[in-house]
Parts: sequence; structure tokens; C-alpha cells
Amino acid sequence: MRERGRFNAPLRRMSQPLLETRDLTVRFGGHVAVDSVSCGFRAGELTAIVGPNGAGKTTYFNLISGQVRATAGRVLLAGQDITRAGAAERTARGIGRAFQLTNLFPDLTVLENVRLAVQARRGCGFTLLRRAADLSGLAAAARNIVTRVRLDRVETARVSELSHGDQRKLEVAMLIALDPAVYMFDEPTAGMSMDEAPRVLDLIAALQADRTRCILLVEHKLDVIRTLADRIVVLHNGRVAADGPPAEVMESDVVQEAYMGRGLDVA
Amino acid sequence: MIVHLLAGDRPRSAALALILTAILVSLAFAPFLFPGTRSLETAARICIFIVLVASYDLLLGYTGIVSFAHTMFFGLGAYGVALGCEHIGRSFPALGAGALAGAFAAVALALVIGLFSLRVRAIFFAMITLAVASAFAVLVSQFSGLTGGEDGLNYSIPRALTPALTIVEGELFGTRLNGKLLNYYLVFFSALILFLLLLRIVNSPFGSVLKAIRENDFRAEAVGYRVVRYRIAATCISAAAASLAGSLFAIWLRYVGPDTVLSFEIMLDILLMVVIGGMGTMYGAVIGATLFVLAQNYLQTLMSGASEATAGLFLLPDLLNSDRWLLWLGVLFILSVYFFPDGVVGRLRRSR
Repeated sequence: MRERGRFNAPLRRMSQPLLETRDLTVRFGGHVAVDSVSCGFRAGELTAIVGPNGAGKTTYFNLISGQVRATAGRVLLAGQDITRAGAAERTARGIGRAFQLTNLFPDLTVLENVRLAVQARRGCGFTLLRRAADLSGLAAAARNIVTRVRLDRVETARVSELSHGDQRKLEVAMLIALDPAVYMFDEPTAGMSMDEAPRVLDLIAALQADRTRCILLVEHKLDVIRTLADRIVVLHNGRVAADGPPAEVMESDVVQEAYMGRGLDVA
Repeated sequence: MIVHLLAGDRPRSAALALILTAILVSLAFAPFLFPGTRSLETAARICIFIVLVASYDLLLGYTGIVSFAHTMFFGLGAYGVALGCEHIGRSFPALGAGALAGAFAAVALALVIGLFSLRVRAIFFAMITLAVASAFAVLVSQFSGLTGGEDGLNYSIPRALTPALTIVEGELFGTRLNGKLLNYYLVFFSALILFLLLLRIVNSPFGSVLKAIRENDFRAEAVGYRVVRYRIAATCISAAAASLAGSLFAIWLRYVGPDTVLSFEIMLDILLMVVIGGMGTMYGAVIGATLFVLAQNYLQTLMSGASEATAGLFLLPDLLNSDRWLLWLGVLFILSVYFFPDGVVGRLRRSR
């Protein structure tokens, strides 16, 4: 089984951004949801993307992971233009995403959900005549990840029977199973209870720890951002309002005014 | 061993396992357990419809694709064999060539339909399959020079598969050991192999992608699967299996015609069988096809018996008159959907 979408070579070159958007713009009718956003994201860096509701954070994510097509501008991954590529191709090339609104396969079990992600990474979706449960590695790898996010106690339960918190964990588990070069988390702790959220944040911190992955995180909780982020990008009305290290951005006028000042979404 | 043959897809219900075993044994020994032309016809029909319904379940139950072109693929396999026998002669190579040509045509047509319409919304695919299947049925009845039109085709199959061949003189449990028996076992074992193959496919990594697409195609795409390719592949596999079922039907009947293999009624029957048995289970196809074909063949007999038994009572004899069998089939269908919304198999698995 050949592994696809590895980006080990670019990962070493820390100076060059792994993922880049150039003048990325999308219009819905007359409304410009994302307006010429140019940003580069390096491997080994965790960037928090913040901004008030409607600032275009999720739309920006959709443009990067391929759910929404850009009106103008480009998306580059490891220097290659992927603006025209569909969502499946982008995932295969190494952009993985966890969704804000839980978006899983409800009638399949936890293990099957994770196995689908493992199988996608290994590119064996067109294996027709062998049992999925038999393929060495597939099941083991899936079980391994399920245990890592502590969902092993419910591994044979259908996803539709899981609690909201467990579904969020499964979202993260599937992203880990894809093991992409770029990890995109869209509010991974939204709607989670106080004792469940830290577990998910620990998982993200663990991914960040070895400094090889490029991680994008949309998050509202400022304490989370302070502890995890290497860099903060503030979106406001679809534009980049501020971009820099957390300490600097948090203090900047634009954030004080546009974001914190109004007390919007500050948990 | 058995679990391996079933691709690890256990019935997951003792009652279901029992019923499936009973059906398998009955079909395997049908010529000896139920001697008689009519019961053998029914058994062969059950075998063939199990494959046809299972191949439809791959589309509807596993991938979530609604297609109305399944009888077209069934018909392609049947007409392939008929034309092979007609033009190449009554030989096994003619049967094989006909079946292969039919399957090839079915896959090619499925590929074209899929490429053109599986990108768009599901309802359009359903409409397009309906249109193509209707056009195909019209073409078959119009090109009467080739297809025999509405009359269909009668042809000779190899002598080894007809009653003309006698293997051993005499009878075994009331059944003559002749070519007809061989023909039945050709149908039975081919159907068994095709069914196990389909069962294996739905339990493969490919099969789990299909289920993922059924559950949430948006997310399947986001995980990295090109949904359209998988949908097209599923359509092609399903078309090939349906066409092979059609070939078996043609070999068994020694006749093809629009009414027997292409009519829209058969398409509805397939839908009913999938729903009654339980969508997305494969075993549902076995149960659905068996129940439905049995009802089709024996409900009338059963009812005329009941009608005679109740003779003299008010209204009942009329209601139970064997001419009303379709009414009762409809009632049975409504009841089964009402009480088993996820099919017989789903019900049995839940009541475990």
C-alpha cells in the first residue's frame, strides 16, 4: 500500500510556507465573504484564526480545503497551485480538515469512521475483494487512533448514538487518521463540556509538539489561543486585520477595537 | 470457513441465520425436495432474483443511488445469451460469449450513464436511468428483425442443459436425472458464486467507501474519496451482476422477450424485494426475493384453497378469490413496510 500526499521534503524547508493563499477572494452574490486574503502557513507552526462571527473564518477554511471555489486568487500547497483541485484531491494531497458542525458517517461505527480515514490515506479505497476488517494495518491503525482519543469504550457504537463531545473527538480522530501535512481545526471544542474540551486541546498540543505539522485553528476561546498559538491571524469583514505573534496581536489597536473591544465571542 | 466465504458478514441474528440456512438448503436440493416442474421453475427464479436484487441493493442500499435501469442491464445479459445462441449456435461457447457480450454492454452503458449523470443530483440520475431504460425497451421492441420484437426470441441451448439429455435412467426422489437438472445446478451455483462475490465486495474497503458515500457524500469527499468515481464503479459492478443474472435467466427459460426481462413491472418487483428484505444488508436480497417469488407463484393457489374452504361464508370467498391475489400481495407489502420499516433482516437483527 503506497502512501499518498506526503510532504516530507517541503516540511524540512521551514522558511518556505507549506500552504499559501494569494489574494484569495470569494463573492456570494454581492457579498464579499473573503476579500483578497494573502497568507502563508509554515510547517511546524500553529496559527489561530480569529475574528467575530461572519468575519469569513469558516469560508476561508472552505476555500482552502476545497468545499468552496474561489472567485479570484490562488491556493498553493508546497508551491503547487491547487486552486482548481476538488476537495477529495486536496485531501489526498495533504490538506485535512475537521468540521465545525459535526460531519460524520452517522450510521457507521466509530471504528468504521476512523478506518475510512486510514484507508483514504493509504489509497486502497478500490480494493474490492478483500475484507476491510482483514486488511492488516487498517483495522489496527484505526483502533490505535480510537484508543488515542479515548473513544475505545464506544468503538463499536454507531456515531449517531454518541454524545456531542464524543462526536467532536471522533472528528479529531479522523483528522489524525488522515495524518495530513496541513491540519485544519474549525472550533474543535465548540459545544463541548468543560471536562471534555481539555482532552481535545491536549490532542492538538500533542500534534503541535514535534513541530513538523502545519496546523490552522479557528477558535473563539482566548485562553486556548494564548496557550497554543504560535501566531494569530485576525479576520474582519473578510480581510486580514492583523497578523503576528499572539502577544503582539492581542495588544494591537485593531484587535482591541474590532474584536475584543466589542466583546464579541470572547469566551 | 463459512465465515470466510461470507466475507465475515455474519447474519448477526440466530433467526436470520436459521432462515438463510433453510433457504440455502431448500434451493440446493430443490429438485429432490420439491419435485415437479413448477417448483423447480420457482426455485430457479428465486436463485436468479437473489442475484438481481442483491446487485440492486449494492446501488440502492449501499451507495444510496436510485436507478430505474436495472431491468435494462438484466435484459442486456438475457438478450446477449439469446442472440449468442441464435447466431453462433447451440453451444457452450455461444452461451459464454453471449453472457460476456451482454455484461460488457451493460458495463459500457452503465459507465456512459454514470459519467453523464452521477455528477448531478440523485434525482436527475434516477430520471435519466428511467429515460434510458424506457428508450432501450422501445428499441428492443422496434428492432424486431434482431430481437424478435414483442414476441421475443425462442432459441436452443446446448443439449446438455435440456431434458433431452439423460444422465442416468430412472428417477431420484421423483426427479429425472436429465439436462434440466444440470441446468438448474448451473443456475444455482452461478447465483451462489455471484451472491458471495457481491457480499465480498460490500465488505471490502471499497464497500465501506460506498457506505460512507450513502451516509454523507460531502464528508466522503472531504476525507479524500472521489465520490463520483466510486458511484460510477458501483453502478458498473451492479450492472455487470444484473446482466449475468439476466444471462442465467435466459439460459433457464430458453426464451427472452420484453415482458419477461425488460418490463417496468420487474423493476418495481426488484424495488419491493429490496425493501421487504432490508436495504443495505445483502441478506435482505435473499429473503426479499424468496418471499416475493414464492408469493407471486403460490399466493394464487393458496387463495383458491382458502376461498373454497370459506365457501358459504359472507363476502370471504369473494375476497379470497384467486383473481384477487394482486390485492393481497399489495396488502402484504404495505403490512411488511409498516411493521418492518428496515426490512425483515433489519427487524430480525434488532430483535436479537
